[in-house]
Amino acid sequence: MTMSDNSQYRELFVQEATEHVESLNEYLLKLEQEPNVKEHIDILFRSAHTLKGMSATMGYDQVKELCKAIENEFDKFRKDESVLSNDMASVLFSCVDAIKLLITDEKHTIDLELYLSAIKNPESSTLSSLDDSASTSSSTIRVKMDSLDSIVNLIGELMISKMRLSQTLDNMMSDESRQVLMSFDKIITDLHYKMMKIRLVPIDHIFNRFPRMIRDLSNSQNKKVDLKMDGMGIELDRTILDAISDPLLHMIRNSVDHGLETPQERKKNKKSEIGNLSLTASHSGDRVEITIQDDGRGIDVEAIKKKAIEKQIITEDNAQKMSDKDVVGLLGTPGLSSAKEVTDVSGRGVGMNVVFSQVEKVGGNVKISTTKGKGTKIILGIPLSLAIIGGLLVKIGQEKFVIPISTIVTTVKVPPQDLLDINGSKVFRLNDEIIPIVKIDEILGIKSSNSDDVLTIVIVERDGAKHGLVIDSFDKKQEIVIKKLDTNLYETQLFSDATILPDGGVALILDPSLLLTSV
Amino acid sequence: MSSVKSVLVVDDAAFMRVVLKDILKNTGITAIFEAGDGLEAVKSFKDNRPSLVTMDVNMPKADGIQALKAILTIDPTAKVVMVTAVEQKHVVDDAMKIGAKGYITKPFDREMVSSVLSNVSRSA
Repeated sequence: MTMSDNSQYRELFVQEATEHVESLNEYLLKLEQEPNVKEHIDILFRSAHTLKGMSATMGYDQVKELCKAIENEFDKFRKDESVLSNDMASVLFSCVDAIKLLITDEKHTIDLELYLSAIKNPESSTLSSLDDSASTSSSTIRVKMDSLDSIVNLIGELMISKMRLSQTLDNMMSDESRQVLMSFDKIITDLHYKMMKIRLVPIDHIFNRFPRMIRDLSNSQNKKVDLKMDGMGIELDRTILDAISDPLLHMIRNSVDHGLETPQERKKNKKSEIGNLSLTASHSGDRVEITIQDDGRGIDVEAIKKKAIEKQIITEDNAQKMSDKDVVGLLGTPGLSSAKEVTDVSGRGVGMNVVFSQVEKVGGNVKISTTKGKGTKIILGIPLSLAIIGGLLVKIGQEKFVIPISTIVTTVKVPPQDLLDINGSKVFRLNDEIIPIVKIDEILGIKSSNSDDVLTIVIVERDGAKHGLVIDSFDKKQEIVIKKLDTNLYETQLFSDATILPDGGVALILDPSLLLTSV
Repeated sequence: MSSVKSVLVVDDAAFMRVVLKDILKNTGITAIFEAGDGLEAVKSFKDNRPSLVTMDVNMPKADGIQALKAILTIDPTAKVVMVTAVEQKHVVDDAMKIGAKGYITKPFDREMVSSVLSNVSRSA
């Protein structure tokens, strides 16, 4: 086949070839750690071989030649004619980088001889590893995200219209129209689900580049890092994934740059020479938590304090009273310092406020805990998808609010005799837990119309602590479409979102994380 | 290639399957089955009994040679054509000894593919 009639196959080629490139990277890393595992070599050989055939078919000669050369090396490993050396690994990684570039950019060319001779003499290779941050994502979505966003918005509008329709028809519906409405309902739900599904991308897309990045980074700093990753396969909305990609990269880089010590320093502090870094993604309700944990030197809390006082973000008095946790939280404050200064003093914080704001922009949050000398743990909590969430409609006085289902533990009725008084605040006991009561009506300055002595309580969880929100009554759980509030319009920091109700009214979304900071 | 009614295309790369399928379609074959590894290939052969099989060699699970053997046990008259890279001459020799009816090399040449397939399908 000739080049000219292959353009129709390009998309499929790039997609599949990229998967092979990722597999080459992944298994090359594994082989470096476990040089005797035959399965790694088999997979590497097969990927190189398949890639060779594919690129030959596309007429991409440079990719073909390069694949042929590395396939040849893998074949030698397979036949026990040679073993992967450190130099060889670096050369092979460079080759994989080049292959990746050639695949993604059809017009790109490389100095093939340079690579081929490096494979022959890896010890005297002049190849340098490429900056991985320049890598392009292997998205299979070829639609502009804008278009998908507008469809999601329309689905939201459709949901609201349907809810209004069923409300207005409520009392005069025939069985037949009820059935039509039900199937209408199902179709919209399916549509929403499918749409959200389309936007999901496995987290591997960003996780996959970290092993390589950390290998290069730790090599260049003469550090030893053992990276453990877990939670591959967990899927996130593309927009969210894009938004957290840079922050993640940043924090991982920070961990290696500033958190983890050199083997000598670690030895001196009675730690294992190899630094541990783990990257974990897991589901938590309808959120995903990404945890980055290292056992490095931790964040220098005193240095942040000093800097914050210097920059007049806190007073010396404040600083005395602040817990370490609060001080670390200051890293999210813009203007704490320019990147460079913080790097020098605290060893961390390079644009941490940018990380915070980028994650918060997609409805996520950042939690940092650190122990001097022991390490740092950062948890990113991120919503699975944007725009539509499950919510519980609650009533307080004449006002309606929505509480996100993801924050709710359960709902209970508490008779007055079960209320306890501890240091002047009302609490109640649920199983073996003491749960403080939060009177939303008082916080918001509205009048509860509950004349009953028995309290209706929604128990929510925030930062691991449970709180009982007192409401008048609750309605059923429903899907709600989030509408961002214009923050300028509201002086209060209690609300950031609202939704439109089936009757056309507006309900504010009670986000416990905002509400409970004011308690 | 009037006697070729259906073809089973075996290759672990979806890309290669699509390219080969398009070539086959251009020669008028429309009943095309696909398999992504050796095990799938054997299963599909059992279920669909294609009049011809194109078989990639390097694949996960069971490779092309293993699948070839399994298919010939199911039907000793099966027409299997190996798909190989140019330099895999020794593999082709092995496969022909086992009972493959022909081979095509990657990258595909449209004419080569049709001529091999029609030769094989004409052979008894």
